[in-house]
Amino acid sequence: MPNFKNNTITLTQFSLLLYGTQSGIGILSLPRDLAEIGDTSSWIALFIGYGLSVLASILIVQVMKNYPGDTIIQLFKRFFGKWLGSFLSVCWIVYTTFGMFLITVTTIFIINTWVLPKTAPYLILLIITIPSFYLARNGLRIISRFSVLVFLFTSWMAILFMYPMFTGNLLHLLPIIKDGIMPILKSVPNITFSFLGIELLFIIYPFLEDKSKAVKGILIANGITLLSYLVVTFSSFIYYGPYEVVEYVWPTLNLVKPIEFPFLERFEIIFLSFYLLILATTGIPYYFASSFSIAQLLGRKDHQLALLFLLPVVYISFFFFTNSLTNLDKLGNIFNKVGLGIAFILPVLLLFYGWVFRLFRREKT
Amino acid sequence: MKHSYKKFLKSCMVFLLIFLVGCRSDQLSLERTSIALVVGIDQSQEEGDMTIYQTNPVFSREATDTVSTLQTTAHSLRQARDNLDSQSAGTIVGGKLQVLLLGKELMKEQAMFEELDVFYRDPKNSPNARVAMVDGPIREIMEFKPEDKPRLAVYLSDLIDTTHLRENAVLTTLQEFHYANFEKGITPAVTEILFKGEEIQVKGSALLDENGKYVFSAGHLESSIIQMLRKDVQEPIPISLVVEKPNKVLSVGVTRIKRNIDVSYKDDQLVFDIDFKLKVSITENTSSLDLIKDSSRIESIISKKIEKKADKLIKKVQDEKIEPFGLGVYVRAYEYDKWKTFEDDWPEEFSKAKVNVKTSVSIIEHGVIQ
Repeated sequence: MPNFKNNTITLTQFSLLLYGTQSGIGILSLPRDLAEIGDTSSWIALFIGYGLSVLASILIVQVMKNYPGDTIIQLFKRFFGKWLGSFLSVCWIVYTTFGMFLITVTTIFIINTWVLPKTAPYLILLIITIPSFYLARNGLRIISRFSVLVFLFTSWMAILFMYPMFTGNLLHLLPIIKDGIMPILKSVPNITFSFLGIELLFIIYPFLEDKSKAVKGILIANGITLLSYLVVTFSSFIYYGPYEVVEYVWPTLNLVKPIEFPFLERFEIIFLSFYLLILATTGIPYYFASSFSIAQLLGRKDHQLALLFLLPVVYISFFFFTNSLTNLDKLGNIFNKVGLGIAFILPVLLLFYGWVFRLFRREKT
Repeated sequence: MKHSYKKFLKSCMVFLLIFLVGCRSDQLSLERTSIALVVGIDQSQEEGDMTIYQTNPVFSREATDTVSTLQTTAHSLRQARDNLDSQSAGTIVGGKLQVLLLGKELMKEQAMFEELDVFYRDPKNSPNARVAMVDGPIREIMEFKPEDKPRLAVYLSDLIDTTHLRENAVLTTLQEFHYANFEKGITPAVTEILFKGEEIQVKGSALLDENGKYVFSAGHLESSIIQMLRKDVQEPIPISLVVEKPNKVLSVGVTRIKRNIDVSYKDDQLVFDIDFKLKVSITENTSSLDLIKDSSRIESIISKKIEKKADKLIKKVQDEKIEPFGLGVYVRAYEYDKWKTFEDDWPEEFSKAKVNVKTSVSIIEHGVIQ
């Protein structure tokens, strides 16, 4: 595959790219999502979510390991033949495009609510998609370098989020287990959504330079994601307490709102501007994955045309989409459910199928 | 040649993208805004209406006055803002709000928290504005323009901040007010302001019930005790005691407070054991007490005074069925199963609880003279 050769990524790039795809829009509403089901004890479920996510990622790697150099598209073709394989590939492409679309519209919605309420959404759409296109056309190595850069530029925000912990009341976290184990277990599905992004391993994995380090990279990526979720959840719970936290749509954003300087009125805008970078490291990999899959499906080496083709698709869909919180919730729910299937169930099926497939093949030859 | 053309096109695009968005409709120039610094809400003559006042700085060379005060009557804050918008030259901006004044008469009748909805719903509004209740008509404060003081917003916010720093009043921002309204283990309290003669004065704290209605006022020392119970103490609390009648005084500053709160159940009754360990420094002594010989006596005088005040305050708070100390959070943390049974009417439950306050005082210094 000529595309991988000049585009391999190192372990650091691999793990931070994966972290970027994981930490997206979920973190903004995570504390509320958790508190609604599991009260303040639900942070324990984060660890369960981490475990599940690592497990699923390792399964994906196990699937891909036997065919190094294959992306999910070629794997589908190899396993299921031309027609069924192409059909599954199209499903995958629709899913990743959907992911990119969802992240873009959410970004637009957040900017419209918090920063620029009167600016027309399509303008924001333009300033998001055009740089994304420029970045994505250069291939995965550039995207992962961007992810590393963004990670370095935004890691100070973790310190910012620790600030409310000192002004809040630690007693809000007690008792640690409030209503038994059940509410904690019930919030696990919600958390696995926030760990979504690992399904892009199906595309990223072949680019990894040293494939033996894949598991290490997965552990690092999921670990950073877990850490950032823990910081945000703990601060929200400590600062707001169990009753107030469910009152906010995006508790994470409200958390930085009380920070104010005499010369700066709304600190959350600064925060949001940096946060847009994090959202970009989520959206762009989906964008790339989608166009790269299209190129591979059509047997083309260059994915730029596919990238260009996707832009009008997004613009037209955006034209027919009413950007509101309820619609975003609906879309998000669909995406999460499909994503859960792709990230957690598909690897198991593929692993099993691959095993049978190889067994069958060996007997034949 | 072709390459540079492409480059030019690209830079044009970037230029347009950057500047198109900012300059369209979210642009706001300072001269065209009217920045609300103080907002006051008071009772209106008409049923169901509120009178809303607003002061904002004036940025104009021709205007002689630097502050303008607007007034309107409306059903809600947002409606009032629309009215005020038509009265002022600029668009009203709420993000710099410093102080929110609420009328006492209004707070007696109406749960104010719901009325403040717009401050939380619109992310442009600042959550750091101080909430204060005014004893008396708000109109007088809003039109107060003394020559020896800075403009009202600065003056009021400094006044509230410094009084809070001396622990003589609670300071509640809109964010904390929001918290106190949703947290079931505490009832809200706000700063209370009095306009008397030609002076604005911070009277203490106004204690509200769980719906945000005014119940009663706590004075300076009582406010200090509320904050000691809330663990919100950073600066010395000044306490003056008359030790020999008529006017011989011993003044102390409580510099460090160590606090221990135990929650337990004894015979199905909720019991709080609150233990204060105070380190005080003597700041003034006009009585005949000998600071070294009588030190243990002084310590017991101070601790008795604080205990008595605290007991009285707690008794009153229990009678009125409110709980501004946030002790419910302790019950939730340590007696969760019991808490679950009464979480929705905690103040009622608190009124049945037994609260033991114990204070031990130790003098750590008495200045540079004997």
